[in-house]
Amino acid sequence: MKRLSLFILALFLLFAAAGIAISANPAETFKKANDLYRNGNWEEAAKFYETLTAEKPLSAELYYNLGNAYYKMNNIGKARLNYERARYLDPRDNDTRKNIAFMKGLIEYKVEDKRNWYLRKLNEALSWLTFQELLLLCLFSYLLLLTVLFVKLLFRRPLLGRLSIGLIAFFAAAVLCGLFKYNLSPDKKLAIVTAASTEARYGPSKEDKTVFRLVEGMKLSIVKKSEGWCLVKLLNGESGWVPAGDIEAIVAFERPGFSLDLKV
Amino acid sequence: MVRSFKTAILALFVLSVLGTVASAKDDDVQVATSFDRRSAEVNEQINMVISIKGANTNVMHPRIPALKAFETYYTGRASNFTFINGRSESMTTFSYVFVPKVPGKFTIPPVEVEVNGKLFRSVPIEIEVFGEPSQQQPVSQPQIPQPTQPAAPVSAPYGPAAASPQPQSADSVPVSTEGNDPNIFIRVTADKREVYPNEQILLTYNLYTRYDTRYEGFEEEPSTSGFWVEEFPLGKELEKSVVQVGGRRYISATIRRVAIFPTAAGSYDITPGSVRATVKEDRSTRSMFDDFFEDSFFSGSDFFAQRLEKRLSAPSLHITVKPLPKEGEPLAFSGLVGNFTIKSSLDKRTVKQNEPITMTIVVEGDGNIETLERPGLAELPKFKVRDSGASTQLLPSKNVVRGRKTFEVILIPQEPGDFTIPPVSFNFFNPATRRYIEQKTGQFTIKVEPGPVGPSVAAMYPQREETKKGVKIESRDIYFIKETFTPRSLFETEVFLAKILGALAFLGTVVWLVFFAMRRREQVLDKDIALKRRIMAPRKLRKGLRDIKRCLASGKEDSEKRFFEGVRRTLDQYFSDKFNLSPQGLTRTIVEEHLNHTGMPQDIIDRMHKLYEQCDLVHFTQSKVSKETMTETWNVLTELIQDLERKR
Repeated sequence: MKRLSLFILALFLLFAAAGIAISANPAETFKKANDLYRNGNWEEAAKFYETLTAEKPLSAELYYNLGNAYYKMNNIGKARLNYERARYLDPRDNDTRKNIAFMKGLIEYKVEDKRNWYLRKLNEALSWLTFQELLLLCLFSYLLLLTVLFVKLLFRRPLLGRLSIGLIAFFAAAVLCGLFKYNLSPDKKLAIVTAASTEARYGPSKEDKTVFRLVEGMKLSIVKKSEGWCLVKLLNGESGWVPAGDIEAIVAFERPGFSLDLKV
Repeated sequence: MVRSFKTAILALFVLSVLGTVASAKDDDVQVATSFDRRSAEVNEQINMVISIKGANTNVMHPRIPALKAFETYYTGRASNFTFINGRSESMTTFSYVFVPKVPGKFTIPPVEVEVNGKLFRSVPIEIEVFGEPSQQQPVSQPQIPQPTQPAAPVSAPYGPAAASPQPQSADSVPVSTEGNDPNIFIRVTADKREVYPNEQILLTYNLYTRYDTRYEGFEEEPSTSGFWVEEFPLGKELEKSVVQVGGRRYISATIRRVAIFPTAAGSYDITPGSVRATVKEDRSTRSMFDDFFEDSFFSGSDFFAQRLEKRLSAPSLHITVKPLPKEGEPLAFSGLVGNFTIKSSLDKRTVKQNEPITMTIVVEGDGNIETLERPGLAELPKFKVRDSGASTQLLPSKNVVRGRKTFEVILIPQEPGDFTIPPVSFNFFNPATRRYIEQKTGQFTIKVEPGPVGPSVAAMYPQREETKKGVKIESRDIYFIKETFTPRSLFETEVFLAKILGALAFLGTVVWLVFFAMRRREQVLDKDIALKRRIMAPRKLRKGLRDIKRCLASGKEDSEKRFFEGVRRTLDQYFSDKFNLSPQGLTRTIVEEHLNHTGMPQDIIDRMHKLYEQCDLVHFTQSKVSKETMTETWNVLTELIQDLERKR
């Protein structure tokens, strides 16, 4: 009996240790990659970071560090791509925003944003929140509205009427912002040019004439895909077809519970 | 006698004048040649003026050297003669136009002028020409007419603008507008194409037009990324002139002059931007040159005339920025390129310990002085050194950025004694000589007398906010990596929270809708009493009957009394609900009236009366009633209600 108890205890400890080992892997791999980065082994560090992204821990810090590693390897396109992914996951991280601004400064082309000013301002304001946070905000404001309406049913007070009107307006605004972020804003269809340079053409063929040129690190939105080509659009309204292999979608991963299959 | 005297006076006067004229020595004759520009594009006009000063007579037409790369036109001669205090002075000018046909660097040889039998020569002048060679064959002989018959190859007088370029000049007029209108275009010239970092390049924008034109400004600014930019303000009136390009006359106006300074070595293509202008396509026979002196370029006349908008752009300019030579580069190079001087001064030579001395350092010269940092001071271990501020003053100049930058440094001696403030060193690169120049100010000796030693004097001279240096960003790079990463579970918490809130929202909506419906129903019924009574009647009836039956089944002592009270109460409530009457004050007579009114048979009325009588009997007489009687009353009641409901 005593032996059996010991055996069971040993099994338990073995599984526990294995569990600890498995759960500690991503953190250790991350630390190892960071050490490689500090020592200047950027390529090796990038490989470790990529391994972690394949396992999908969905960490903004992971993509940020991967972006840094690619920048050190002089791969501006991949660097910006990973910074944008980090920003998608954590839009309020200051370092990520600054690094993106730095990447933009390295790109020799300037693309004029020709959207209406209110769309630009709204997009800029909403860029500080993820879509999931907006959704939570909508739900929370709706629950608050329901509570006030419920209390208003029981106790008829003019203040409650005014409060409920305000909450309705707030809820409507939150919903509109959520819709904008999800559908109207090209947030989920954005991509980065990862080839050193590419050409956007009038049609999905190398025989078609060139509309404009793109260099690595430039951001564009994907309108549609067709047989190895993507129709892309810039903020200045210009569009053209580029080879699918020359660009990479920013959001090509899934967040738990929200299916956003956007792989190019 | 008088007549002879007058004649003699007149003769003396004439002789003196002639003598004065004749006495002008040949040595006073000066010949000078001037050009309005030293660099030009192919087919761009360069104006030359040869001035002969001091010669009174016998000025022959100048001999212009043969220039294969230029077409040369003679445009006129002017003379000016003054006679003051017995001294005469004359100036004769000959004007020419040179039109380069090929790019390159050329030296205009000396121009020879014969004056009074002596030959005078001007100095040679270098001209640089940019652009593509003209398709036209360069003229082998300069088109200089005979002195007596100047015949400049002037094109037809300005008239209605040509719809298409003349065949012989098709290649010489740069086509730079939408729709290729050769009658209006802009040209952007750079005075240098190869420079060093931080060396000035002067960009000049010239608008050429054969129309009545209004300049509207820049539609697209030039892209000068990688360059510091300083703009030269233009006068109230634009500089205008009549020029010939490709054999046709234009009015040329300088619309912008900008100095740009490249920040780093490399090759750059500067896109000059685009300009808007509106033109009046006037078919009148007046020539533009008639209107020129009415300043039609800024025509506000004919305000209501139809004007066409033109968008003008020029080809981009290629600039090569050579790296500064490594040879001779000072250790702490200031980065300035140009030509500068430096001087310094102290406001005091004798101070007490801990009293401040202000040192003023002034750097002045041609170049981008704005970027200059304070020249370094040598180590002064016994002094506290504070920067008090710097100011820049741009000195007016037409084509060169010139300025003066003044630095103030506070020196606070910490110990008494005699000290030497070493010279301030300053270096820059002179692109003209292609050498690094180092300059030093003088050194100063100061005497520091013992003074009060208290708290740090520097603290008594806090720097004003406006004179403090801003925290300068020394360089740009990415920020460092993150040390930890957010685990997956946090995202799942987000999802979990969203699901909970979603479920609560759904339930809350359902609950609220139910409550809302109930409240609404209550409000409707409160407004319609009859409807409320009708709706509530069945429930009240069931309750009443339930109570009566409970009494019937109960074996308690006062159950009979309660039974018959219940029967009466139930009947009253039932009839009041049915006939929309108040239960208070309801009598059998009123009930009978309503039953008759609704056409109920007499049998029902009789049973109604019987029940009420039974209840009154028990209520008023307190007589004992058997269970059978109660049961019978119950049956009568239920049958009555059923019959009434059936006949409703």
